[in-house]
Amino acid sequence: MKISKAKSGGRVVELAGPEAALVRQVLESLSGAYQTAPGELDPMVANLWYGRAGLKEVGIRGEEAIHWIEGLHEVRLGRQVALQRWLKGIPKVGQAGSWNIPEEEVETLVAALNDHRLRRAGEFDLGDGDLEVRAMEKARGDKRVALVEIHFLAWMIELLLQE
Amino acid sequence: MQGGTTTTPEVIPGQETDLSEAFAKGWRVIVWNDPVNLMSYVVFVFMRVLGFNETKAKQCMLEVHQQGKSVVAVETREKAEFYCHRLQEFGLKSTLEAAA
Repeated sequence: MKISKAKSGGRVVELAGPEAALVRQVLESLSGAYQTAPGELDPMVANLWYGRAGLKEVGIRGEEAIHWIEGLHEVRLGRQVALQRWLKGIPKVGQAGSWNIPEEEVETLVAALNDHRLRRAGEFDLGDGDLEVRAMEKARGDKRVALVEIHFLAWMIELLLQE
Repeated sequence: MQGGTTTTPEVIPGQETDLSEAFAKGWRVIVWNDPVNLMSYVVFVFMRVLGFNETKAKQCMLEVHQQGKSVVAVETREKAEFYCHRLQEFGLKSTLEAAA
């Protein structure tokens, strides 16, 4: 993967075939999760995306708390719209290629990729020790896939923020 | 608007205090450490949401990382809620707290 800044200010993401397939898979699954109501998500994921911690203590209860969570969900539904656009620009499965991100969408992309990292960590209740690269080598099955995605997206976020 | 009678607004006991609390910069926005968000990402979010320069954003990020939390803003209730919500939109663990 290589990410460079376009003349327009956006980013050009060059992906090898397997990398493009991974990004596509991530965005497709994230799209489904964004469209899922907060109450229907995996509770660990819901806690990371739509956590209520601290709201009651400062008097945000009932309707106000619902409004707070709905606001967070609306932001993610907004990201979902951008996500559908990105899915059209990513190289087709099995193909290498480049993907152009307009400057005004870089922030949304970074936030979306981070959302997926949080989601995968929530699904497997991953903590500090689990997130070390060495732990990935020992992990098996779905947990290993989740860790590969988490580390790959960390690399991608770093490259997007460096440019 | 109806009528021509001038009335003095009724002051409800306790409401005056609530209003002064709401407009005083007495609300802390706290960001808590978590194992997933990248340091560079947290710096980026602090710069975008709170308008910090890179030095201040890095300083607050390190405080979160090393001490478990950082008070990133002390604001009016409305603005503190706005910042707290925005930080949560980016996946950061943030809460509000009334300043003592």
